[in-house]
Amino acid sequence: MCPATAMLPALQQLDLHGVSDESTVWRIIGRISSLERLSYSFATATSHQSSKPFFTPEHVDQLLKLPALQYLYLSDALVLADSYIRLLDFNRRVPAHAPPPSIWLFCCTNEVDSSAAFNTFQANYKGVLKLEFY
Amino acid sequence: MDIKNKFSSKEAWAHAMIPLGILEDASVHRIRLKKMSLSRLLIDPLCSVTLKLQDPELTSKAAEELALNSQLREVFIASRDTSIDSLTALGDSKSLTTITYEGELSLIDSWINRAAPCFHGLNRLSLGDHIFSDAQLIQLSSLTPNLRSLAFRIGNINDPSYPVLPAQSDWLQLRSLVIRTAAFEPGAENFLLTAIDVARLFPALERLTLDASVEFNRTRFSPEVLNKFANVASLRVVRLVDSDVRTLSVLSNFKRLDEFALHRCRFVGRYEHKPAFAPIWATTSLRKLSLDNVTFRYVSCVCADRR
Repeated sequence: MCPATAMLPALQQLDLHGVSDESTVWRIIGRISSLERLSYSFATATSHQSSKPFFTPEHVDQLLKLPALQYLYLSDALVLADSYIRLLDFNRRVPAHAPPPSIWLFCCTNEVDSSAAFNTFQANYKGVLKLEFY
Repeated sequence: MDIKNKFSSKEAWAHAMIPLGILEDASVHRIRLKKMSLSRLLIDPLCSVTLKLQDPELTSKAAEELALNSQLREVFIASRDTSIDSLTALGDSKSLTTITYEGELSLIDSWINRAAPCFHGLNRLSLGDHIFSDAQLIQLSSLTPNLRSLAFRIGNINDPSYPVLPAQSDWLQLRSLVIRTAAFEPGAENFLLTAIDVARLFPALERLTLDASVEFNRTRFSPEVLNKFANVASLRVVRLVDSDVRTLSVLSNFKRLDEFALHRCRFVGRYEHKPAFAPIWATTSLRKLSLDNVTFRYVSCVCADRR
């Protein structure tokens, strides 16, 4: 449905709320190399608090492709332990050019038994981290 | 009474028991009045005011007093029973810039002939649920030529006297236009203007919203309606509410679009499928994109039939 090359070359801000077919959407996100701000709400009109969709390491891989990303807002997701570990890869950016993005986790929850990964992430992430209704 | 302590936000809800005459807190910028007579209302001139009128008795005397408030910026009218005399009195305000109607307007001929002429200084006007005819819109535009922002509703399919846009207009300074519809697919039948006509009517238009969420689930705008705005050179922002994927097919004609928002895009038609979204990804000028409750995955009835 879209070319393999970068798309939306001027796009700086992308707000996604309640979109379906996540795999398609995340493939697209990874191709928007100009993206500076991403807001992604996993909530849909029919989703329930008890069945939040996963925020997976594959999602993080798409985000790591975005060299200009400065701000990331995620809401209503269940964050996997491996996702926290992968998010720390943002720390490897050269600070002078692209410091780690500010991350805001809103109404997100941890996967069961991922508290160690979460604590490691909290202690070591070099970007701004904000947790709200976590 | 300490208004600031009574209301935690800078917004006051006024009921009949609250003596607003003592309101002197300049930080309160919005007052909502519910089920009370405004005839007793005295507002400190330091406050700017938004009035939400529900079941009101906005007497013409109270309206005159309000019009003297040099900080009055916006009036939100939720009642169709607000008298024409009161509205004309409000029109004397030197500071009023925005009128927002919720619901239907009553006495529409009187409203246009007597109230609207008092609003020639308005910047923003939202016209609620009343459906205007071509003649009424033309007259309204001549009375409010300074409008920067306008929202109105269309309807009555297949009736050229209720068009999507008026045949002529004095809204040459309009920056933002919201068109809401209750019609089933307003399209070529009641959009008699060409794209060149539209560009001439709205030479300064920057933001366009086509909102089909008014009533029925089946309402939507046809691609032809959006495409009529493609020649407006100043247009930078397009919002589609309750659209369907067919409308996206004309996005490629908007070469200078900075922002595009799609809210609740619906699947209409049996054979639509993912490529219908391709125009979004091909809009290379976009700097901001918002997708809200959009369904990317469609079950192709063709595939389903083959199975």
